[in-house]
Amino acid sequence: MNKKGFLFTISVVLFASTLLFFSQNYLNENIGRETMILRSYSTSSEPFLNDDLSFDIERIFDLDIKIGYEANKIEIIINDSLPKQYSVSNALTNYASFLNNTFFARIKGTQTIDLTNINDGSLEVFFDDNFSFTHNYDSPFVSLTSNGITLSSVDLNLDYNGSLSSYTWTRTAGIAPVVIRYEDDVNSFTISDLIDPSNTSTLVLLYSDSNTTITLGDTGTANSFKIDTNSTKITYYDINLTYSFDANFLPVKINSILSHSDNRIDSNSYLKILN
Amino acid sequence: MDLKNKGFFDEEGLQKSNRFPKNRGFIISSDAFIGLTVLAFLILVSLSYVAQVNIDSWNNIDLINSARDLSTVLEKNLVFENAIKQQSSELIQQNINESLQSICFEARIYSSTDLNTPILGALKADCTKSFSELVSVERTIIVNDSNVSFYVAKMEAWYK
Repeated sequence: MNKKGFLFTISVVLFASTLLFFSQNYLNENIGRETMILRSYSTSSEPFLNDDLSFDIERIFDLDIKIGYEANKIEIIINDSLPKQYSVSNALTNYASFLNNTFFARIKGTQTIDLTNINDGSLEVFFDDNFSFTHNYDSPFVSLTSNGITLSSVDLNLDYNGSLSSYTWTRTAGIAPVVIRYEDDVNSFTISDLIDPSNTSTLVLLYSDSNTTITLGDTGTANSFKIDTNSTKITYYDINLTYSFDANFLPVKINSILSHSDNRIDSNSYLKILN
Repeated sequence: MDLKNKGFFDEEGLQKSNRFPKNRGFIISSDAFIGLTVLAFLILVSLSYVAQVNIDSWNNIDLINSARDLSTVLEKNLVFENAIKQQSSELIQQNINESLQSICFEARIYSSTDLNTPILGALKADCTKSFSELVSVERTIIVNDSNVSFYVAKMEAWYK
């Protein structure tokens, strides 16, 4: 009888001790996981801030860049205008001042942004190592340069705030379809043709006091495009360039670095339009 | 010797233990009481550990993610920018009314020159500012309308 009681007591003590042990472990485990999650979650602040600032840069330039992925090809879609009717340089200077003096002070951690690379007269956007886009706002031109990837089609819409005097379309025949739709306050026309993206094809738009040149194919680099203007009136354009390129992921980064440090995190990264 | 009559055996001839005959029940009761007290103490300590487990941080992360998502969508769809251009909160109100049902949101827009007084604001319909946990995220907003100006959008979120 005494042995049974002793065994019963030991069993109960063991049970209770096990309960205590497991509940303590459960608590410690949970605290550990919570700490880990909160610590790892703080890494999400930088991408959120990066996304915010890169979209701001796009809005300052009134620029929209998108990429469409299809089997064995990608579409680069750019919606932009030139020349800008406001001082981009002043806007960037004021923006940097607003961030550094006001906004960053409201965010946890320490942040700095270096906009000097885009406040030098030219915005550069890198599509990984495969393409680069430049918007020069000092001597207005835009260009997209391909790093050896074949241009397979172009669809370009132009809208000019003025009136066209005449235009000339010179092309090197090839197999890449091109559609250009032009419209201004008075005139409109459409060009539909086939070009060789390894050679130069050019559309020159002549206005009474200025001109705009659109180069497709070889702009100094094959498979590229460029719009160059000396007009002071604004030209809106949206272009859809299709490239023979098998990819389903192409990061798009602005040539400007955001530095962020907070609680064991120390990062320096380009502003990312698309991840 | 008649052991039965000496009290060593009962009526049926079974041996009686007459050591501590009067204290025996008390000792057993004390032993059980102490044992049960220790057991209850251990269980209570265990429960106190379990009760300390806090899942608020997980809820906060969900709230922060929701606030970040909504503010990002409203900025990238130009809802904030158009609302500022129109000087009206209606667009923001319409959009936050269509957000997640279980979460309340309040959006406020501040000019970069005065971050204390909102120029626009919208509280989700059927929501009151009553909460145990509140999260807040901020995004910069650019308005590009012949000149470039800067604003801050503040999005607060809490569970209904």
